[in-house]
Amino acid sequence: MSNRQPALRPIIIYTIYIILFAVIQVTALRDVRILGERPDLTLVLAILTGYLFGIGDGLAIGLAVGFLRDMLAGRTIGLGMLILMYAAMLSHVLLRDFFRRKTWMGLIQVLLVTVIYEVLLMFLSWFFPMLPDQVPQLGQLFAHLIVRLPIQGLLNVAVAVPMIWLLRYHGPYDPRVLREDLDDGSTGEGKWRTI
Amino acid sequence: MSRNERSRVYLVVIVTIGLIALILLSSFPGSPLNQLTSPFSIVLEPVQKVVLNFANGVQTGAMSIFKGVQIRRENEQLLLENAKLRNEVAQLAAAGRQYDELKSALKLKDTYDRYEIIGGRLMTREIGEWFDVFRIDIGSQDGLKVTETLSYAVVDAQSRLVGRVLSTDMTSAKILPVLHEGFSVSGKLNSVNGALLRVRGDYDLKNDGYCIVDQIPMTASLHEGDVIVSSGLGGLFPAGIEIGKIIEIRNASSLLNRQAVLQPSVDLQNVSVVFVMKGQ
Repeated sequence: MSNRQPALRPIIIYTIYIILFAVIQVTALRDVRILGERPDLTLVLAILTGYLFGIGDGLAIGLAVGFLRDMLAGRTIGLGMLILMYAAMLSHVLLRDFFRRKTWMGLIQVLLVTVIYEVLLMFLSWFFPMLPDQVPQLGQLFAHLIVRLPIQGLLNVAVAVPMIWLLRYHGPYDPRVLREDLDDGSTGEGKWRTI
Repeated sequence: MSRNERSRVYLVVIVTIGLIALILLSSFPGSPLNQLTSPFSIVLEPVQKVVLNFANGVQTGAMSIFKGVQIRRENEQLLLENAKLRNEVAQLAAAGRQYDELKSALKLKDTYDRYEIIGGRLMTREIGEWFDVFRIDIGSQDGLKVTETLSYAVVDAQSRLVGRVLSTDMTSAKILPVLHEGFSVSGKLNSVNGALLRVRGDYDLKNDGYCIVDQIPMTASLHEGDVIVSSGLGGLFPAGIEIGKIIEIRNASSLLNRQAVLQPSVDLQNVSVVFVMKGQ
């Protein structure tokens, strides 16, 4: 089998998915709340890209969806890019030997990185309060987090199921090339694409 | 570490430093870096509008199926209300004519005469923690320019406070909503010589749709049901904009630390069109 992947395909597919998920997040999903929470499509996309397709893709997609996130609902420009870039990188390196990059282990990875992401945002809220005389207490923020986190985590895992299917079988790389490595549990981003 | 891995680490470090600089610089009100989003806003806006209209269409369609009977009843009720309102409009038109005559006769100063009202459509809402501002489809090309000392009040069609403009790019603006923990406005009781106080968003209350009222003077008499309006102090919000009503008073026994819970008048969940009050 040829190991050459068309260079244009990843760019087109990623562009479509990035715009699609970001726009769905802020339009169609804006009134959808399950127990007060909504799935975070752009975060899940960044995590899964880093997990499934390696650090290079994760970094680029994390930056791109982070920029859209900043543009659409961010208080500043850059924070979403920074956080989602690291979320994608984290999902690439976190427990990689244990998971061996098995496709469905991506769900566990989504859950893990969602927890880390939410904890990070909690500390950001504590370090950088918007009103200088109203610094929220860490205990108060933690109590909120404990309530929100299980629902947010489960919702993100739920949307990760169709997203894994999309990325795996209608994603940036030819599924016939990916299948060989995924089935034998190979790790290493380069290997997936060059076998 | 291989050469390839080392260059990747360098890349990540450089990107991180660049992004931290971007965050710090774009957090200043009026920062030109906020204009970075302009080209993307222009491209994304039509896509967003299509998806938004589609989502609204689906939602409306589903509602019309499931709520057909209810809608018919409501329609009958609305027809009745419409007739009453027509009558009221006729009366108000007459009252308005009288008011205009009085105004010109007594040279009353109308505060809002100094403001240009620009209507905008709400494009996006919050995504989650830290990504929690609204976005509307008017921006610097409509004359909105946010600086450290200049921003604009945002109200709904009934002149109820929605929030303030946080930043703008060419075609869009971000709105800090009244419920946000970073929002603060000087308010006063809606009565003659009403006490001044502060209304602000609160981390605990925002998910319930409430704000907190603090800095209440010891001499102020505050009751549940009292309506709070903007005081006009600070110059950002014009005086007299309705903010909300008091639904609970906390620490009522201690006059020093009194706080109150305020329910904003605006329905943030359902607001879709807002108006920016631009001072002239």
